[in-house]
Amino acid sequence: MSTSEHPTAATTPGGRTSSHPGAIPPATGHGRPATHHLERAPGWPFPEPATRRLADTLRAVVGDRHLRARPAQLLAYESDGLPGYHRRPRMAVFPGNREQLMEVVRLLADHGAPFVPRGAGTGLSGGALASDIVLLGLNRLTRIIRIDPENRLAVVEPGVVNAMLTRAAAPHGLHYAPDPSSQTACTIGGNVAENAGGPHCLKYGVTLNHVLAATVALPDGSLVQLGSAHGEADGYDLLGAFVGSEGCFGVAVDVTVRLSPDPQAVRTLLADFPSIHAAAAAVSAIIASGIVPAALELMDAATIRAVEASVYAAGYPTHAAAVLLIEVDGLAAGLDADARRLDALCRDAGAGSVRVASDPAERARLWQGRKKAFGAMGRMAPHLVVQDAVVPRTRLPDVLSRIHAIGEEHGVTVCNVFHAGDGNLHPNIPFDAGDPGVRERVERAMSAIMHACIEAGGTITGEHGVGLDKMRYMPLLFTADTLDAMCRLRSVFDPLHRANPGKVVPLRSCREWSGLQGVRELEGVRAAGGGGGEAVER
Amino acid sequence: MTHRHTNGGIFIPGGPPAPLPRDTPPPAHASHPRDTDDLREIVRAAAASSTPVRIVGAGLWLNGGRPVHAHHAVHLGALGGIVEHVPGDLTMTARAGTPLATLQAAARAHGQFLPLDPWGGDSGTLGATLATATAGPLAGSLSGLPGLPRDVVLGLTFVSGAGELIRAGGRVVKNVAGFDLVRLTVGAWGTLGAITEATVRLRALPERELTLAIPLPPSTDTGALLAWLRTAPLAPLALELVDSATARAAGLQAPPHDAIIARLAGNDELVEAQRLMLAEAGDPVELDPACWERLRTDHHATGATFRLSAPASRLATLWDAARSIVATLAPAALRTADPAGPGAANTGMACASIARGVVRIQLPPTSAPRLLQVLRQGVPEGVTFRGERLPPELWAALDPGSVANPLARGVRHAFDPHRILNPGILGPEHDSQCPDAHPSRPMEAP
Repeated sequence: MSTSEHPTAATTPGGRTSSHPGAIPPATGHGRPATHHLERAPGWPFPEPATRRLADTLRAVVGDRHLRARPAQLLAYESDGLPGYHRRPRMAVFPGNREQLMEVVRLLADHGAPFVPRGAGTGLSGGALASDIVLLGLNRLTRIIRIDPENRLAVVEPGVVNAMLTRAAAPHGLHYAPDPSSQTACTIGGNVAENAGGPHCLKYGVTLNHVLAATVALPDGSLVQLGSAHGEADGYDLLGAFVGSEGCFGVAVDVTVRLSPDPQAVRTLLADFPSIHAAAAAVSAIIASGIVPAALELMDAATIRAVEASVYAAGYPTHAAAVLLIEVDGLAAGLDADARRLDALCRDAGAGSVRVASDPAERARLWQGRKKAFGAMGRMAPHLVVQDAVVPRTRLPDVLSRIHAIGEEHGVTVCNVFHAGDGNLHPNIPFDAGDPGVRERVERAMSAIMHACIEAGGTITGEHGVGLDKMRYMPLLFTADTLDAMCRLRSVFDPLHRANPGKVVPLRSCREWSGLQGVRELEGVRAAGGGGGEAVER
Repeated sequence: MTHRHTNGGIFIPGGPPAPLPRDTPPPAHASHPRDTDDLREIVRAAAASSTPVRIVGAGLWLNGGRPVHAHHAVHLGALGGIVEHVPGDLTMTARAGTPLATLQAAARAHGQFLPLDPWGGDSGTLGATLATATAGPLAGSLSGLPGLPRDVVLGLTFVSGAGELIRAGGRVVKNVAGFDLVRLTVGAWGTLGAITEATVRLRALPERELTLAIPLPPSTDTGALLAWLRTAPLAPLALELVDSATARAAGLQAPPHDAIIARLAGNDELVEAQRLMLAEAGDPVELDPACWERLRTDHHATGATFRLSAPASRLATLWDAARSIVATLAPAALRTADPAGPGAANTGMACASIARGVVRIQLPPTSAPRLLQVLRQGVPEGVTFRGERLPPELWAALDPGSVANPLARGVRHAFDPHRILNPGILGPEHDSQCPDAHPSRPMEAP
């Protein structure tokens, strides 16, 4: 197909009617087969000699230990936190400092090599999988460059582990607010790429609300400063666009984040409910009350039993159909009054009992059960799909009923443990992939759950990202014009789509890009790098 | 392109087919799209003929004073009304032309409020507030909640410069599906698209609210006071340092000097504890809560309005600079001589968001030439200058701003390839139509 078949946005200003959520918009494939369900990454465009040359060049920068190209060395990077997907990188490179990182990105650009940035690999959407391309590991860049307690900010390298930043800020009475469940392993760079959330984002906001500035190496190797830590930023919010771009817009070289003052006081409550409906009703009542809890988490019976049967047993009442873990924090004054009001709101909604953690140890135990719930579910079966979706908070009761019904229809167990205050669901399905047919049933159940969330006016991911796993749902949520606009934004940062190719937005949605412009560029580079080789399969 | 039944009538939408001007468009045309389809037709027709258009909301908003090179205005005032308010979700979806006052009234009827309080008051539209990302006192909230306009928007619908209808974000409070077109559009001053609809977060009205002013004696060590306020156990919805002209506008009787104005909120106990805490800084005077609205209405952008910002720890120095700019360029003699009293157009005033480290200064039009002289001497090292409304000669003297960088130009091109939307409003744009393969600015490592 030729470029002329693919009018660009500049020459066809729209003309499509928008579709509403739930309806599948007309294909924009421009000659691409409609059956192309999951997009493939462009793949590795180089013949063996050029590949070896690239590996040698990178090795010279990072040292022999930090360039891995042998299949056995790459096994550990074949998967991330998303089960069931395995993609082997062509090679993995681990720069050890800022200069090496910049040099590596430049060299990858010079060679025209596609790459996937990766932090700790704890992501749950397959975003850090590198399918036969270069994996750029950032986990050696662990320097906390500066903590400025007076202005409550920190400048960190992308590989700094989330919890380590909070630990470093603790002596100043500060902490880093976004707290994903994987915070003891996941990195700030990965959090920025995914716009990570966590239980305490209900009150304090997600990663986006805590990033002030970033120095970014664009895929072409040039450095840009986005946002401002010194005063009001100006112009387009390119930092806002970068946060949550899932590694497709470039690599953060350093990130300036806001640190939050530790609350003067905290009250943690656990309320148990005879039905998940009653718990959801309590959530609505709390949201409407004007009290903004620091966290408001719901766990259903299946989750409670999994946690209580594990080493993370938190003392959750096993007879309950659901529990709410509620935390209020802030100034000490008035906090007990808020806690009393929460207690009353829960009881009005039908709570059997409500208890307040009496000391920090009890509080920690209640939270450990919540944060390790995914691990506890891992005991139930060899495999676990962790799902992520958001619905309007008033729709929680209906959607939870629907999810339960979907689980029964497909003969799978759905464990719900989620950020109820945000309407951010995590319906998880433990399963044994060895059982015949179970994989398909799990897949169908998950798809049905996603559709139910979209139909309820929700979205397909609240904090885990689209990655590889959720691209198929993007056309259900966004119109063809909107998806194309996202493609164009990506092209501004990365005209050749070399950074994390084949993720987030289905390639067929990109009108301009489906003109193969980028692949031609890649082919041009390959020709320059030694010629020959197969045509890029797309 | 093919014209539909309205013939893309840029000047008479929905009216009889009219030929589109090509070379010299007649001046001062205006169109009033009745709905989104109308607007798309207008924008497509404008794109096809490369006719620049000026996007107008209620027609009151600051245009920054920057020359918008467009003879055609597209008024979005008819695209108004609340689409959906779900009190239980604390969300509201409204069309862009809806005045903020309408949204606030609807929210208040359910014990809620919209956390947007731009300078200039509530008569402006939702679309303009978001397009300009104008942040008022609530943006400096220390209550833990993010308060900038961009933090309040959950989803946006806009018509791009190519006439596409783009639906970004959604109606839920947490959403990371796809690349963030919402953030990009908020604060883009309409140059990436004309916002037609937005879903915003609401907040529940606090159990109790109390606005206190603390008049500060001239001997006050502002630096020490600000440092204390930023770390004291306080969680106000808004906390401003104001000069005497602003304090007077807020209703404080005869303030001799600066004052702190705090908007406390929460349950009784929390509000009382904060009142006691604030009393350590001086003798608090209770103000009518409506003073915030008055303050914002008075503090509209006049002759020259601009902001200085720096890391919050440097606010005291910034404040001294601001006070001396006001004292020099809008002398008290001029101010007191004004029979219209405080808040009139020839008053110089300053206020500062203590949490954000941003000072907002407003000068009478007569002082603009002298402000130019001050600016020519250069903004102090480490201080960020942001014009809000300036006379054209001042804009011309300033840097083109960050929208001139290649990445920003690439974004502009991606959403408005013909550069027909509000051209010039973000400063002079470079002539190149499109940045090519390398839309990035090389930068030295810090």
